[in-house]
Amino acid sequence: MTDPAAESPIPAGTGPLDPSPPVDLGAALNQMAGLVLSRETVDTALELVTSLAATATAGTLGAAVTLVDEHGRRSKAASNAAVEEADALQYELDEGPCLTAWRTRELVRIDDTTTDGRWRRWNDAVGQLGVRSVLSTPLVVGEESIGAMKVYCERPMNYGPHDEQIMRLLAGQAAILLANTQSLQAARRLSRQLTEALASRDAIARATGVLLAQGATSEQDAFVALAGAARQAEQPVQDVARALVAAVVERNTHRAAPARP
Amino acid sequence: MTSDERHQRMDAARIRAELSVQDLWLRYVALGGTGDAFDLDGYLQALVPLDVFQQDVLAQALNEALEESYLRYCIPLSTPPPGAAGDGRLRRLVDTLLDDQVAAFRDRLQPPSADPPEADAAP
Repeated sequence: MTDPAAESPIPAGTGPLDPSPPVDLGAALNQMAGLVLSRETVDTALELVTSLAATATAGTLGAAVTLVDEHGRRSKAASNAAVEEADALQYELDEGPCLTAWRTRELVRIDDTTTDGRWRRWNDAVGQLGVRSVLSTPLVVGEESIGAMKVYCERPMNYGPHDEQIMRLLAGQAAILLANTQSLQAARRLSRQLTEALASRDAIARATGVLLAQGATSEQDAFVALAGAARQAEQPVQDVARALVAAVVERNTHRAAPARP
Repeated sequence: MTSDERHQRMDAARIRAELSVQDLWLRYVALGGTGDAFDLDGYLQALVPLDVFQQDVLAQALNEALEESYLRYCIPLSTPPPGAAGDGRLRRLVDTLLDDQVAAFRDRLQPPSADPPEADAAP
């Protein structure tokens, strides 16, 4: 059964019958607004971190961040096309230093792609792009490994302990920024849930109004009646409320029909 | 059951239904609850009192969540049992609510003593 009340042009939930005091959504909405604003900032700041990584490690051809989540594997804030290409090869071949760094949560260093035997196929492929040495650090947020940040170089034996230290420090910053983006996803989910919650709340407020007009002596009594019916019907209160409003609309329509010419 | 036990049972139910306080608050708001998430958290931890009506809304939110989590584990039979027409039952209940509402509420809420029919029935 469709719910005629949902499409009804009558603003049933906004009239004086609506008994609910406004719910305090201010805090939740403010929190979300702050997070939504921060997404642009996160992307910009992430690019800043990767370009810092590229400049702070001598001889670097390019830097980028690899993200691994339920949407798959992808690169962010790549400083040039060669880096993106080398990353794409990792995702394609399902092997490479960044995927290993992500999986093992350990820093990975390749001194020479022409001699390193750990990721044979990937090393061969990026060797042709001119990548000879690689440094990749895992990005860890809380307990979760969310990807890796890497620098590529055209010279072999380019990276040493000093570069490792720099990359560790910068990866920590990048992880904090990315954790922020993840809470944006949580905020989106919250926003969707709030919309659903408000729709349900509207339906219940309308049904409460109907029951008050039917003689319920307070909102609480109306709610208790709805909850009682929900228990007997083994349905959520929300569904009972919608069915109640729909039944009222139907009755009124029947009543009005014979009067029409 | 004392009110102390009630909040403890509610928090136990929340954990059983695998809800965070935030999740529970959303469900409670969806049912018309007017407290904020801090009110709920405080009540569940016995730090602040909660209005009885709001407790009922919260209880309903928890009961629905428990029912849902129970149903998630239920295994459906290969052929659905006959007479599982939930829609017809809901329809009858709604009709009962709409037809008998006034009388039902009067019966339940007003003491049998001779009260004037309208007005100032609430204590």
